Amino acid sequence: MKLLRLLERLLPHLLLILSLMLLTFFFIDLVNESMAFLNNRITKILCAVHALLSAVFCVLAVVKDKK
Amino acid sequence: MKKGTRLFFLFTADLLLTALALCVFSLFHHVLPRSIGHLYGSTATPGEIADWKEKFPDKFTDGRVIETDTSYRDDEVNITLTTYVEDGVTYTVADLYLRRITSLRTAMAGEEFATGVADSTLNLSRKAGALFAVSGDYFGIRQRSIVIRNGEVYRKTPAHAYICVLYYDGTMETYTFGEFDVDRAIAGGAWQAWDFGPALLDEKGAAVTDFDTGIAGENPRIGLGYYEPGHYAIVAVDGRQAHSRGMTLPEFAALFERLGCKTAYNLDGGNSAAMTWRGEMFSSPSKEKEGRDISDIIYLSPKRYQEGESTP
Repeated sequence: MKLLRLLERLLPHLLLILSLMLLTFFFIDLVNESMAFLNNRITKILCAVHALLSAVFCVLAVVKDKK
Repeated sequence: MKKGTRLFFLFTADLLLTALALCVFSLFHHVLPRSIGHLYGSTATPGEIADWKEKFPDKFTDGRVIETDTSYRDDEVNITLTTYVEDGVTYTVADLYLRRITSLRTAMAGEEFATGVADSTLNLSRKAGALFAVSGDYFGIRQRSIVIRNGEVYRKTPAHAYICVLYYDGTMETYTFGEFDVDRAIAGGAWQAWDFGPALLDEKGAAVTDFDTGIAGENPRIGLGYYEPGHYAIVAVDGRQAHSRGMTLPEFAALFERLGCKTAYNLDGGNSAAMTWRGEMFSSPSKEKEGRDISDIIYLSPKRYQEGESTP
């Protein structure tokens, strides 16, 4: 339960950080596509992590809402 | 602590962590050296490299070296640097005749093809023993681009930019991303290829006036111009300084049109733009004395210059 609560508190911050990073890459990519800030292995992993954390966050939010 | 203050610190901490994460990302993305290797081999080499000695009979010597403070001539190359001050801009035109295209060489920072490895144009020119050098297209900062150097193919994933190819037969062509076929360029005998741009002249040799790019304003610049096989112009523009404001891309294009070039191509400018002569800075790069560290140079290193022969 403790772990779940910690996860609940940490998740929004992790998602915020990842979102800000991806937004930064998006805007840099608009002006300098050749540096491939979006189209590279690290960003693809970050996108997957962002999606995974979002899914967990959503599940937790739905469960909490139904309680 | 008040709730508002706590929230402020929480979000500030998030922002700081974001900045830290971006720094770590940059380290792994483009700062730390990463060897890319040499995957693609050589371009199609012609049986015999063209010799333009008879085409330009008065441009080359019989083997003697004739040089001044701003020119050099031997049986291999003929180069003259002329500096102009016009309308608040200082720029140098290197008028270049080559007997063989293989005299116009490129060098990379580091031992092998890699991203995240950089050095100043001055250091790279000294390491190469260059008589004359200019900064290249800084391929190492990008994950995608065409990189063909001295007839070797290092990378063949074009960025969404203009590509410039200098062929073994001495011709220089510029291509847009959409029309460029890398395998055709390789089969056609590409000696050098750069991926930066944009192209500055149209098919008729007229200056392009409208550029859809964020780098069109007044900047220090380096550009390549092509007259005919064996005859080229390399221009360095000082900028972002009191003595020289830099050139806009339309001004730069107009300069190459005035020079009479048929094709012209913009290379990496800004703080990267640097020209060296005899192992010393010749242009005045903006801000930093020796310009920004970059990944590659274009240079001339005639055999007789390397051997120290001279007849002033």
